[in-house]
Amino acid sequence: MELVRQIEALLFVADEPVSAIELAQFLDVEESDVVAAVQALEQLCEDRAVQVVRIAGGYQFSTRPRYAEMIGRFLRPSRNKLTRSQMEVLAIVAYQQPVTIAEVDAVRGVHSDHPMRCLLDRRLVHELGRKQTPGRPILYGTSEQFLHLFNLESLEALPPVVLPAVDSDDSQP
Amino acid sequence: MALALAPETSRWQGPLGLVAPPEIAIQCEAFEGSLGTLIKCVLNQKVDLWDIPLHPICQAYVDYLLERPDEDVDSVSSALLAMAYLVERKAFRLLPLPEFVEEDDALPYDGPGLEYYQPVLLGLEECFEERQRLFFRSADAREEYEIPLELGKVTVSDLGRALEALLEKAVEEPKTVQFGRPRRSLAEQMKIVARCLDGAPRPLDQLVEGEFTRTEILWWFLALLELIRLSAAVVVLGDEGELLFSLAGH
Repeated sequence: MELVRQIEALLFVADEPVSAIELAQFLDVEESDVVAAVQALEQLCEDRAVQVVRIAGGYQFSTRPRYAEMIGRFLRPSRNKLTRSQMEVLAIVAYQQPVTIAEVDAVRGVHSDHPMRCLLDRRLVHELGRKQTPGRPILYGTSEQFLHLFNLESLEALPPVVLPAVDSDDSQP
Repeated sequence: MALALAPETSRWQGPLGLVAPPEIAIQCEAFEGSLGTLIKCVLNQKVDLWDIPLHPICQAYVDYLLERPDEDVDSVSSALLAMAYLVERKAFRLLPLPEFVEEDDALPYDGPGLEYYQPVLLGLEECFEERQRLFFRSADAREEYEIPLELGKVTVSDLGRALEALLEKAVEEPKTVQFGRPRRSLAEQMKIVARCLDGAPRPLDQLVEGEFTRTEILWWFLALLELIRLSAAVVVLGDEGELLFSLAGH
């Protein structure tokens, strides 16, 4: 039970998701013990206004959705909703990463440098390196901030999509 | 290309939060209108900068700034940012694009189009809406905690009064402000203040010599406060209640 309390205390002070591995290393316990303790903590919080959520690869305390309106009136948060073009670019990057801006352009059929710049500013995408092709274009991928903004635990939690297979450049003779 | 200064009109606040540059009228084959409109059109990808020479526009803009030294610095810096954006876009446009360079080798794109992502976009929007109903601890709590300074009997009000006394002695600011006038960094100003503090503890009016403007003395005092914050300087109350400043260790 002490481990549950310790994890509760750490998650309470953390302002970003903390992974089970981080908690296990810090508390010097097995990762499986952390997972079990978090499950116990989730049960303890069942009757409370806060809950433990699995988001962006870790655990974090959040308020329960049913209090959203009330908290919204209290905090008056600014809702910076993404534009349609930003959402399109973000979806393509999320599913095709690592991807270059030219590849995003090809899918959308229009230039994407402005929405990509906005997404970079909001730290929803970040540079992953450079593609080893002529011009060495920058490769982009989604960030942890993206997972957090879309309430996803990992990229595996993305909504499923069936994309037709594409022959990659590498398969060219 | 013809350039002319149009009469002063209201400043345009663009989508990037940029304050409009002056109403420089541009007339060339590819575009006819104000500089603000040009930036708007470039932002919306309605104009190809390839066809618009930027050099005369930049020159006219710089001339405009030089003729108005009293211009609001915030507006000027924002407008310069807008000009820098234009130059950046132009430079980007001048770069050879792979599809033009390797036109013969370019393969038509036959991968999944945007239509395949439509269900995903709906799913992501649902995730986004769901996430908007969750609230987390604010990241503000992570700001570095700074231990309050121990100033003994000296209060913030004492420091404020000392600054006010200095400000009363300040001479008038020069009426013309030159753009690009070099200003010392805070680190450089701190070195100067530290030199003044060398020696026995002294009151402010003995530390600052010669004439100074309000801006100069504010900058000087800010450097002094930073030295105190970093424990490189100390302030104590004198026998008659005056503030005495010196380097730490004196």
